Amino acid sequence: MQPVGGANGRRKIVSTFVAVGCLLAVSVAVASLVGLRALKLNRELARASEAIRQLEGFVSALKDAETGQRGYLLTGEERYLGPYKGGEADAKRGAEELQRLVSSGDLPGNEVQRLSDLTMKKLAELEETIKARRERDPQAAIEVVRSGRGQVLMDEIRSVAGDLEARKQAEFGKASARVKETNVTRTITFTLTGLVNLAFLVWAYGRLSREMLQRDAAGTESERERELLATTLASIGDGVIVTDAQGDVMSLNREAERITGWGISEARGKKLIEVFKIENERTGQIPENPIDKVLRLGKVVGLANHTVLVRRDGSKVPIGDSGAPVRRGDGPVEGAVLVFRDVSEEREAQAAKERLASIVESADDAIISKTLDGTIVTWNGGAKRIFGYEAVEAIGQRITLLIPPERLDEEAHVLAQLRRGERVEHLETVRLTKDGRRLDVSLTVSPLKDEDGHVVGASKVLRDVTARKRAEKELMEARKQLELHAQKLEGAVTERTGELRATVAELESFCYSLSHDMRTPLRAIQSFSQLVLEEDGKKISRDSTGYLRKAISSAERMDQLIQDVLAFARLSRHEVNLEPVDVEGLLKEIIQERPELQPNKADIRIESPLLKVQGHVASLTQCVTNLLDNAVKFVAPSVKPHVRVYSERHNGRVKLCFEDNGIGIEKEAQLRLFDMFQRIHTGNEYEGTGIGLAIVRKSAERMGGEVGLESEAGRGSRFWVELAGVDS
Amino acid sequence: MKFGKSFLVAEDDENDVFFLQRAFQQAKIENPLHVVRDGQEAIDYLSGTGDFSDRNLHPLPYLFILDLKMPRKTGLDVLVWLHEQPELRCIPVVVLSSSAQVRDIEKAYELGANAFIVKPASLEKRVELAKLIGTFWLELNEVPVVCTEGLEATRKLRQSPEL
Repeated sequence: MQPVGGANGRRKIVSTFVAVGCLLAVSVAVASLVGLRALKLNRELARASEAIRQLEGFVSALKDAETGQRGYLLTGEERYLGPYKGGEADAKRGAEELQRLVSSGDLPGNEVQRLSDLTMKKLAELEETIKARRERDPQAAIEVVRSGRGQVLMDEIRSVAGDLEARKQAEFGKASARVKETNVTRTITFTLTGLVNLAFLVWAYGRLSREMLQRDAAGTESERERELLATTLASIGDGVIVTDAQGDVMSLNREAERITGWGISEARGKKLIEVFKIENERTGQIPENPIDKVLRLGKVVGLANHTVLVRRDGSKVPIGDSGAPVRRGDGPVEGAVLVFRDVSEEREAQAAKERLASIVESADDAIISKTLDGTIVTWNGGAKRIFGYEAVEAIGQRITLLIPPERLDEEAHVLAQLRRGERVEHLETVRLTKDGRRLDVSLTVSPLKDEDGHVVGASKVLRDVTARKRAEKELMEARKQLELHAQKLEGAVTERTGELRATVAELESFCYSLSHDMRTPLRAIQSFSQLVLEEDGKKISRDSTGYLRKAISSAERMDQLIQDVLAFARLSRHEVNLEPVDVEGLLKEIIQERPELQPNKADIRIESPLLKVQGHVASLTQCVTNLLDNAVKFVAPSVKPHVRVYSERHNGRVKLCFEDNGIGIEKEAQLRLFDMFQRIHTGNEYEGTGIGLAIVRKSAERMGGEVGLESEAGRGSRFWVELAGVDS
Repeated sequence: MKFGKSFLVAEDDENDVFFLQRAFQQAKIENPLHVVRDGQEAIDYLSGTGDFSDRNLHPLPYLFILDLKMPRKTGLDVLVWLHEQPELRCIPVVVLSSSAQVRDIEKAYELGANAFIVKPASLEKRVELAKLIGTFWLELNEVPVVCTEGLEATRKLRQSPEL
């Protein structure tokens, strides 16, 4: 493209205009000349015509005056004097007009003078006749007329005026011919100049419009280019800042605005260093401003690594950039352009990549990638640790390096699966190490795909499971051992159970024999002793009868002991089914049945109503019987037992309390009170086998309850049994 | 000998037999007291076999006093056997045991025992018991005729081919 709007174009336009101007000037001059001439001719024509008209008018006025005079003369009527007078005045005025035309050079003076003189004479003649007609008689007047003087005058006037008129008519004819000639000339001239001008204008228009078109085209193109440039600059993904030669900001694009936080209007004219503040990310030092360097060196410069841009709001963005000088041709540097971009994402991606790489590298598992033809491509630290090959040794080798000969088939299988895009998961297999050891590994192979989804390789994750396998084996071994042991144990348990059953059976038979066989001799001892007492009591000494009585009471005690032990054993053995029990009714029955609980012996007060409990009638009977027995038994001599029985509810459980006025129990004794064979009173003061409270506790426990007491020596005791209550 | 109101006592312990006999004497109960020493003998006696085939010497008892713990066959074995002898079922059986074992009691009643008494330890109590037995079983208690005079006859009739 030629330089747009150059000197050539301008010269062309100027020359065109000059040419058009000249032509117009010539045209105007010609037209003026022609016009002026035409004007003059017209004026001449007008004057000639005026002169003719005046002359005609003058003659006509005289004729009117003469006509009026004749009329009066003939008739004597005054009314003819009007036209005479008008004609007279007109003739006089006409004469004056002619005189004026003389002074303007249109009529010759002497002829007009002559005409004027004649007119005066004529008018005088007319006046004379009229005067004569009026003062004398019409005849006189007619005489005057008949003199012909008037006629002569008139003819002379006519001739002079006719001459003049003819002359003027000739002038007029000449002038109007010239006017006509001039008009033609003028028309031709105007037409010609008009045509020439038109042609010229057309030419100029063509020339100019061509020039304009060229200019327009050039203008649009440059406009478009400028727009394109601006749009490009604005839409460039990188920040762009342009400075002048002094390093002052001239423009910055949208991305530059975004990154720096500066708007173009605020930034323009500022020193670059204000808008584009950079520092080293690690050291915090401020490096030389790239633009300064560009301006100084006049060549393209790059930016050091780890550069961060301090944004307007103080936040920092890692950037990468370069600067370049702006110059025309080989001319001086006119400014600089700085291109930079936000590399945070790149940096993050890089960091993520590095993190991943370090994860892979530091993983315990061997992570290996290979091509589809089985060439090792990557080799991590785990692979090195497990297989013993360094990365440089392994990369480029075939993966079969790691596969024992007898398992080579497996690789083909794995590869086939991979080509189909499938994973191989947790394949338990064996691999070879560098030093020839065989390792148990768990292998997971995943296909690696390119962007189009084609399988191009595989990543393998191998875990050394030798230890696990060993552990599994050991575990299995242990499990077997355990099973064996369990079997043995079971055998032992069965055996023991059998033994236990036998023991229980023995115990039962022991109890049975206890209740039968052992009591039989006791009865015999007791009975025979009694027999002796009865039959020979009087024959033997008093001491001897005493001994026999002791034998009897001992046998009795022994019998009681056996019965208590049996009762206790029964409690332990027998199944206990719980059901709601009316404790109050049960107590009343028990009291009725037992002589030592009768009102004459003991004062037993039941605080009615007693709450019902979940219990087992037989066990509960045994339990409360023993408690009542104890309550009335352990009282100081000669004290009537007082027993108060009442119940309380605590959290759905019922506490049956037996409060007595007995001798009480010392603290230390309370602890072992409920144990078997515990008698806390020595000697024969209070009878007992030491099993009663053991039975109480056992029966309560069998019913899911508890027993306890609060007591103090000498202050009575309060025994209680707590059992599940019955919802009312 | 006529079918009279005799007792049959099955008891292996001589002392107990002695004390029982003494108690009956003291209670002035003169009815004959036949004693067998174990369960098998009791069965033999009741079925009239072997040594006991002579019903004159060993008549069917009016009351059978049975100890439970005996050699050879126990008292419960005897009850099991007795339960299967319809013609003997109305001989009242009083079990006299050394202990009141719940299972024994239940079993005894299940097998048709009429009473279950724990052997008293003292002489007085034994006499008392003997008196009670005399009063209750010999005087107050009524049994079907077939169980008294008719018992043996019925038994014989049943065994004869004509019936």
